[in-house]
Amino acid sequence: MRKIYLVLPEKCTGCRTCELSCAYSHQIDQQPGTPRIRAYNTKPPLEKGIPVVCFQCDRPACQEVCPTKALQRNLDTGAISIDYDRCINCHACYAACPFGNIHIDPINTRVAKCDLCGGSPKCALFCPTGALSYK
Amino acid sequence: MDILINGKKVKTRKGEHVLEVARREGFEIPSLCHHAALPPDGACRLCLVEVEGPEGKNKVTTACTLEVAQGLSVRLDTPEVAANRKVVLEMLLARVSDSPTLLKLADKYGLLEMRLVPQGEKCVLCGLCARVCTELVGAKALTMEGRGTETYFQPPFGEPAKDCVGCGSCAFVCPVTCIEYKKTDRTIEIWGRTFERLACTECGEPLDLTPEHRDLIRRRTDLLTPAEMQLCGGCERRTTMKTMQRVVEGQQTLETARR
Repeated sequence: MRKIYLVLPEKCTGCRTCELSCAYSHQIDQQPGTPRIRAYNTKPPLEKGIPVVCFQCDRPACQEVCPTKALQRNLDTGAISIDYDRCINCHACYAACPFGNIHIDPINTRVAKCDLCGGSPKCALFCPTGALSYK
Repeated sequence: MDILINGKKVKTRKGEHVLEVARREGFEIPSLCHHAALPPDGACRLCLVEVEGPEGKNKVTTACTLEVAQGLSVRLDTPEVAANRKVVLEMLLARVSDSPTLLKLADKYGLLEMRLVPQGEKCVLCGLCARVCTELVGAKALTMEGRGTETYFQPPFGEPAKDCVGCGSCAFVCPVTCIEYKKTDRTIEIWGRTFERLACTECGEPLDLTPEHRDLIRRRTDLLTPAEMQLCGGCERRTTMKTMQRVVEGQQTLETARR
């Protein structure tokens, strides 16, 4: 059975280890890439973290607006991943995502999104509180 | 269907072309006009390969337009291929002498002397910009103008591009980066047009989006309401975060949070 990437925001402390592990597992020329996940700290009275990461929507807007079919669902992991050979960098997916989960890498201005690391998400591996898991 | 590349047996599917198969198998073939999302065009003539014919009658042709067939056998690095490719490169370099991409290729494929007079042009006429604009983006802002030696890729009649949306894809795919694309805080300049960049309605940060491009994107799907595509990535994520927070704190259920 396909594994499920589970986000439990109530367990998140906002330590941003996920961002760090994501940036280092998506390196470009030995430079850390932009993190595909962001952990935000909420304001008092309840101070905690909320991770915001791609929902891998059932009907993804990014995929529907892509003119080159570069965004396709990986049937093994269920993630929508980018085929950079097909991508023409028009940033339509970046504009279309209603949740802001498509990022632009400042190093090479290419669009980037969570691809579940091809089946072993590093953020879930390093998350110390179990807010992110893949099982 | 199996074909032979440099004597190595390679699995292919019907309708594939030799260039994509060879690249998938790790063989190196140079090209300028090939793009994975577009049908082959055969414009740059760099991806030459030698096809083995009957009775030693071999021919040199472009790998991008060569469809796989039963019993096809191609060689990538014969003296014939090398000599032909060198001539193609020499002509491309005579047209555009200062392109780092071409200079690197010339270095790699052993083009040592130039016999032709440099033309001082910027564009190699691969046509990728116009094909991407017409077939993929769907803006149809670029066209091939003129004939023969007077051919140029530009907006119709050389006027500022009426149908351009300022997405910048043409400038991105251009193999010799000859398309001028200028981005300032408020504007995007390309093909003689100056587009206004939309600004995030929350924080005012300029978006990578022009009003024309936004309309074009909206036409591709019925998912996006007019309220969508107003915010920058950061503000969109913060909105997502706040919705998630309300759900976590029990002020909102997942059903009502779902659009």
